Amino acid sequence: MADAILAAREFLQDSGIVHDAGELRGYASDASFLTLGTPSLVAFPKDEAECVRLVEFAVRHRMPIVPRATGSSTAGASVAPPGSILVDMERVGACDARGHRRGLFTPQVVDAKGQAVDLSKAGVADELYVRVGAGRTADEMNRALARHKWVVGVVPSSSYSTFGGNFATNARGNGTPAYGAFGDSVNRVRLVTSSKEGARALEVTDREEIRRLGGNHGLCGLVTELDVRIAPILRAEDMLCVILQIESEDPEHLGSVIGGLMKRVAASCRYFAGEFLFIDSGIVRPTDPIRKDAVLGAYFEPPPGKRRMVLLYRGTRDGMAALPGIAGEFPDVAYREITYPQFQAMMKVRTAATGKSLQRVNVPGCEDFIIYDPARFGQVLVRMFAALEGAAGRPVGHHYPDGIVVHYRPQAPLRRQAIEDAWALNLRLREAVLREELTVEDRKEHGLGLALFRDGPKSRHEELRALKKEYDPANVFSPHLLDGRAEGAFIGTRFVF
Amino acid sequence: MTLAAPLSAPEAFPALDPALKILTAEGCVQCNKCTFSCPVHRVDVTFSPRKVILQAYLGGGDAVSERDLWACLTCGECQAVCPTEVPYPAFIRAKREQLRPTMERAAPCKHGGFKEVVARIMARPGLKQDRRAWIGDGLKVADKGDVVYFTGCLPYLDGIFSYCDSASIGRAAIRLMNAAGIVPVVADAERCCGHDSLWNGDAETYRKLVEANAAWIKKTGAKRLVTTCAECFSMLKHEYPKVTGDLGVEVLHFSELLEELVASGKVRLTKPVDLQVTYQDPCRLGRHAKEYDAPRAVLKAIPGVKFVEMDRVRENSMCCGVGAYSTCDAQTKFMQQERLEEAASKAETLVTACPHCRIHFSCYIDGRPVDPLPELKIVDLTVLAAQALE
Repeated sequence: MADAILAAREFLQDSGIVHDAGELRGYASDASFLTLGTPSLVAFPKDEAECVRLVEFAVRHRMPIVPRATGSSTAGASVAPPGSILVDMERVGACDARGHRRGLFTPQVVDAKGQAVDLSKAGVADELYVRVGAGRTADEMNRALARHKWVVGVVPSSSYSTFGGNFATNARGNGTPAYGAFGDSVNRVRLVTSSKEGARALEVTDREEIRRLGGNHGLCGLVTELDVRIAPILRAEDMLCVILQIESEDPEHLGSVIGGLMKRVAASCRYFAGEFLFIDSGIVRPTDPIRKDAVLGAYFEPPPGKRRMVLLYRGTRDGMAALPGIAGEFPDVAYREITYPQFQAMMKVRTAATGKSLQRVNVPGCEDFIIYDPARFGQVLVRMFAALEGAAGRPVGHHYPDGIVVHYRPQAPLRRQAIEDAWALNLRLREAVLREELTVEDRKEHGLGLALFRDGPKSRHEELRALKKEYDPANVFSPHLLDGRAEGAFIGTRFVF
Repeated sequence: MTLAAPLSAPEAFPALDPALKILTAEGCVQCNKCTFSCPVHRVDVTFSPRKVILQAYLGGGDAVSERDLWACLTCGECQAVCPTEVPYPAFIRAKREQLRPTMERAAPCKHGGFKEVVARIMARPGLKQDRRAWIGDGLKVADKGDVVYFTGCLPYLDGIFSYCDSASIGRAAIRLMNAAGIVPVVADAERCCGHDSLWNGDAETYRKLVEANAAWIKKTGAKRLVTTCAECFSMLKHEYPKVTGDLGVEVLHFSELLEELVASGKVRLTKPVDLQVTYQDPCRLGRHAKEYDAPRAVLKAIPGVKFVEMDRVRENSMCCGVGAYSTCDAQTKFMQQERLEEAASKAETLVTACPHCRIHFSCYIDGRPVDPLPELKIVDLTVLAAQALE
């Protein structure tokens, strides 16, 4: 193995591919806080040609390579074991000839057939895509599209994740109710895969095949370029943003009412975003400007002894026309229309709510699961809040047409014992809610990562094995993921404090 | 395939060093937003605040390399996007203070260590200075009064950066104040604010400068202290009180005072200045001191000025490429090229409210830009406002 690593290092030096071979503890994990140890090398290819050279080398020397994008996945998909090369894809298609990332760029827009389109002349009903490097993020792209009043169709909560990473995990988020998971919003993919002898650069345009590849967890190759669906920003007069509130001492009542409402919404409304959060006193700092907002401020003063849940929807007025009537059928639910900036302000709180409590930090881990039957939401909340008794933090989540996704991260002072306690809480939570009778399934949102072949659906295992055989016959891409035992260790136990 | 993790947990847990305490007060979740926002990372993909933090968590404070320590601009873009608000610049500052004595690169200051030498000279007791020689005829300053004008390095900068005429910023500020009936105190006792000493880890020099400045400021009995420098402002307003307690004066950036004087009608900006301008938020005024609105209000009050925002502004503004004169290398040039291209795509003039941003950008333009740049002038906000005085 040492010879292979030495050869890899020489190869990277000779081929001019930027790499890191020194202190690599900083690459021992990702936002999952899981570890398999440290990779032997980290490579930062800048384009498809460098990816091809890397894969050729890996095949020739039978050296595993693990694709990594932002590393913001909380499932450990981009964690690399010793003996492997971690391939950081963030520069691919996102940098200039010198290899520098350019924050500002002009987006290349194409139609469904791949023909170039002038966005300033496009109509709001047009099906359009941006042809974009895998290392670009939705945040950057949305900035580039803003002047034309278009946005990326499907944007996960972490808008800083790369498109390549979004595709590898088949991420969901804002826009999913309208456009599906990220893989559903992609019309063309270029990727560098292995052959028995070396590397292949492939272009996939068949939508069914692209859907198969969505959520491939980096098992099949290095995605280098994608055509990603974009959508027009709605005019204020065409957009409806709504905040719904319910509060109760009884989580089962709360969950069953909201679950019932969600079921009706899914059947009768078309919406771009459906998000929920629980409000407690620690959700935003006392100095946060949102507390002074004339409309939103009141939502952050929950009554003592009761849980307050807030549900947010955004869509077109046409698509959401039934929503006021549906809300009216639930007397416990308070309905209010808000402006888009107010919706965005609430979304900022919702996004941060999993990652921040006052003076505390979240502990990533088992924090997302899907409840397929909204009627079970109340029962899930009862079990969830019982498991969380006395713990800090609060659940947030999405309402998708196919179910309710819940995120929860325990929050603890950053001290080793507290982190270990929070990790244990995560495991208790898993035990409490991951139950077939509740129609709950593990980690739908951020992929299964290291647990892919341990916890994931068996049918998907077969699909992924078949895909891997087709696209990676040399088996160089993340082969450790196929081993259900590679669950990784929680890196929090190795911190020096 | 070896799946066993080779990372070993330390056997004993030493008390946290001050730098690591800063990192653990607000914990990192490894989402990597910091790295994607970092201007240094854009030109050096191996530089990553996220990586440094995880290394520190796993290996203690000693796990920060010299490169990582000094390449950071301490601009705060990372902290601005961080969902847990990890104060990475404060960590780097503490680390520099801790490691500076043992690092080979003990004097990272560029330009022959000019700024560092000046700071050390000014930290000496009994220093005698003539800090008014640059002011010139027709402008009124005083020994006593309600308003102190803290000039900062302005009188000294032109000795090195002669092409910038930084003293013109001071003259413009005094002219504007005089127009409002204010005769500001300009004190010979003033010393360097200590910004670079603090951010480059020279705690001893910083402490001496703070104490010297606090002593004369308190003696003046002034009610307000105003400065045209974003670095001086962030020091005097936010850092000094941590050392000296309340200075006894209200600290203002000049843009804040000018906004007030214009709004109250005490200063009348009436002469048209026909320019299309955009604005660079200085890191020390913006992200560090949270003042974004006053400079914009002043720009909008100048007749004839058409103000256009860049795409990355306020909390997301991109740094001018140099922090505390600690790093200025080839990579700095690429950062400056990108930012100036953005500015030039919006306007013919880039306005800033920090003499150091102006120097760093002007230095780049006057040197050899890495790529062709459209014509772009770098102008200080105060100088631009003074042009609108009849």
